[in-house]
Amino acid sequence: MNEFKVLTRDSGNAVIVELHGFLDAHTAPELEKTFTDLLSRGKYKIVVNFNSLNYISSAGLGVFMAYIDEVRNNHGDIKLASMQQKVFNVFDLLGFPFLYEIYKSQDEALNKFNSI
Amino acid sequence: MRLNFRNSLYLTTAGLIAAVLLVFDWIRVSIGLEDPVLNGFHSLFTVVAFALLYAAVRLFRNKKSAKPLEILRKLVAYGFFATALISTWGIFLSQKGEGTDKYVPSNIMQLLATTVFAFAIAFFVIILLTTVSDIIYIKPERKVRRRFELFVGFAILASFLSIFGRSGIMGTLRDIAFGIAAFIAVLHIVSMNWIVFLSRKDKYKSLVHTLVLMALFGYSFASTGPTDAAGGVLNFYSPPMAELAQIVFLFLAIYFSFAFVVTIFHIPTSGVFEKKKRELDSYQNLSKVITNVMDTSEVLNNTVAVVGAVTQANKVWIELRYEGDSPGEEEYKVSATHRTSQYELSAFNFNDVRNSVRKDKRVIIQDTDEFQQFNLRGFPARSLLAVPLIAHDDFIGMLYAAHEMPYAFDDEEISTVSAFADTAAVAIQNSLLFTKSLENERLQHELRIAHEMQLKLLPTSLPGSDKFVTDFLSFPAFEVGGDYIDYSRIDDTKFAFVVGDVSGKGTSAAFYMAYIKGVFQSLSASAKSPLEFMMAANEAVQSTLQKNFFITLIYATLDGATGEVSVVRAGHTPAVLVSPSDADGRRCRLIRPAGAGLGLEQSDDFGRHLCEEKFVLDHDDMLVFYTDGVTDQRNPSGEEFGEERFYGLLKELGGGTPTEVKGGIIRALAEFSQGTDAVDDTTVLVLKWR
Repeated sequence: MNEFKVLTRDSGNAVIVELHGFLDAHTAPELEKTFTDLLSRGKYKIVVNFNSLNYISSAGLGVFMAYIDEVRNNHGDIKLASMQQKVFNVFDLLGFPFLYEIYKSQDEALNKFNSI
Repeated sequence: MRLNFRNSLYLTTAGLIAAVLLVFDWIRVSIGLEDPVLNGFHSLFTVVAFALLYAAVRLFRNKKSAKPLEILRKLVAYGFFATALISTWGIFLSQKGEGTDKYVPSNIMQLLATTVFAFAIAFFVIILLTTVSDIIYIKPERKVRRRFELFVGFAILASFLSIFGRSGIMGTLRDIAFGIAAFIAVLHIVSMNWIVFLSRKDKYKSLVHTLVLMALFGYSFASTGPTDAAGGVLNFYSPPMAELAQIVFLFLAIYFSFAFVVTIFHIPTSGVFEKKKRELDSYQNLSKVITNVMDTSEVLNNTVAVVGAVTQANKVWIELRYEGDSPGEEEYKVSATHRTSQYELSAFNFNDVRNSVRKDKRVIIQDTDEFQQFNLRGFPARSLLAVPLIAHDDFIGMLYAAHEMPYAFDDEEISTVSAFADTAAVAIQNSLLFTKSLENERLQHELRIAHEMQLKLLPTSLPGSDKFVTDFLSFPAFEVGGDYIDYSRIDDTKFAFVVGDVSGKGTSAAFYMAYIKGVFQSLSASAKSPLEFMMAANEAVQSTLQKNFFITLIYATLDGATGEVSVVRAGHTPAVLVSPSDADGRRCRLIRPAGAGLGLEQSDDFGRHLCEEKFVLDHDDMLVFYTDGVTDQRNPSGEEFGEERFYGLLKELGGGTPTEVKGGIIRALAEFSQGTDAVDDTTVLVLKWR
């Protein structure tokens, strides 16, 4: 099994959250902690880079839903970027494209923030 | 006392010797014979008779270990009799005797009386010697036992040497042996262990007893010398016997003089000793109680009560450590108190004490100002001792003892409390584990009930007709699951089918699943269309669902007469339509109308995104609904069963009846997983149009 890892780094007025490995019920709390930290620091413009994420379970999907309302109430957003096809299928099946902006690349997502 | 063959043989032989000696003495007295060699033989025979008497008395002896004070009481009684005998009968006899400087009985009656007197004294000497050995052997070291035996040896040697008279080289040797015996008697002062173990009250009693014994044996010693009245009588009958009596009386007089003094010296330390004894008793008591008790609160309460009693601490309490929900988080809860209360303690924060204890093993606060260092200003005590409860390397909690006096805890008390804590910790952990296993058993029972309840929420069978047949499978990955499958009859010809999946697994998912059943059963019949049903379901779920939970549903209506099907999908895995095809057996089409999972979007957005897909079933068409438990099933090498494999399987099985298809899916999953446990609930619905 791939270990799960979260890396965050600032990029302009946005924050990039990079996910690695498997995101499931066991590793979801780690990502929750990352989001809690970002929100407490007033970071509401978040780009999640899925490039190195190999698997996501329903519990992993739940994490994004838990924070989206608070982020948007603070005029921010969680934008998802560069998903592997398999991961995208999971998001797509559930109807996430209705709720989240999903981009092919991280830069595209960042540009969206910077252009506003 | 009981007579058996051996000691009656000893006594009879001794009596015979005494009778022979009596005859000999009578002849000796009648003719006034004074031959040293004959006297020597006489003495030798008396020694043999006394030895036999000693052997008999030893056999009579009660071997049970007695308390020091009981032995002292016995000694006083024997000593009193011996002294009385010496001071009455002995003196009376000596006055009746003839001769100026040496006692000689004047007639056969006196001779008989002398014999009886000598044997009586010998008897008491033997009794006294064996009784005092009882007290010397209380908690003996090997040295002590050897020293006493050495004393007896020299006493016997001296008395044996006295056969040869008191003058000349033999007399000197006798004097030396006597001196050594007396010296060894003095050495016994260093090993009066029994005094140490007496309580304060018993020490006072011991003082009186030893004083009386000292007086009795001092007097006995003084009046049995060769030139004394009673001593003369004994010396006439048997010089070695008189000698032995002298030495034993001397020994007893010395021993109890010292015992008296030692007792006086030990009175001030009685308090300490009694405390130690109390600690030991409590400790034993605690060990006994807590190893037998499985009730945690009883173990805790016993521990604080015992520590309170032993240390005289004003407040004693135990707090247990509990793991928090997330790793690294911990919580402390006061679980037992003695002379304090949770309420009183709740006003103070012991975090600093805890941290120190985890670092340094224990915390000792000895005066008021030190409390401030631990953020405990105003704590109603002046000393505080805190030790960890550690069982099998687990830090399970803390034991606290507080005292209103400063410097209340000395090293000894600290080590005692630590010892209690170590014992208690193991017992507490055992009882906690026991409680936990009981709790686990109870939970398992509850889960079994929940499992049975959930099975009742699932349909036992799905409907069918001459036009269509159905079958399904649904296995939870754990006792209870979050998958849902159901149907309802809308009107004479129309049916509604639903398959759903609540995100997450286990109990919370099971509750939402039960909730969805309620939603489905109440809404499906009244909903005018699948779209309307799904909108209403989203509305119902939106208000109850936790933010990071969601439910996916696929819902279809079937017209049993025409084969018209209408499918709506809320984030669920697509339906699979398997139809016969001319070319390569069967083909697969995914029915995947747009729609987000329930609870993800507000009604307006949800409705805007939701689509419906309609189609008509043809002869031999098979419609399959499933949950991702099927495709997420892994094999031992971590590979997923996956969509492609599943759809391929459906194409293969498509010609069979729904029950055959179901069997084929179960077989394929079992073959693929090779025993790997399912991680998610697995549900499949198969509908075949005839």
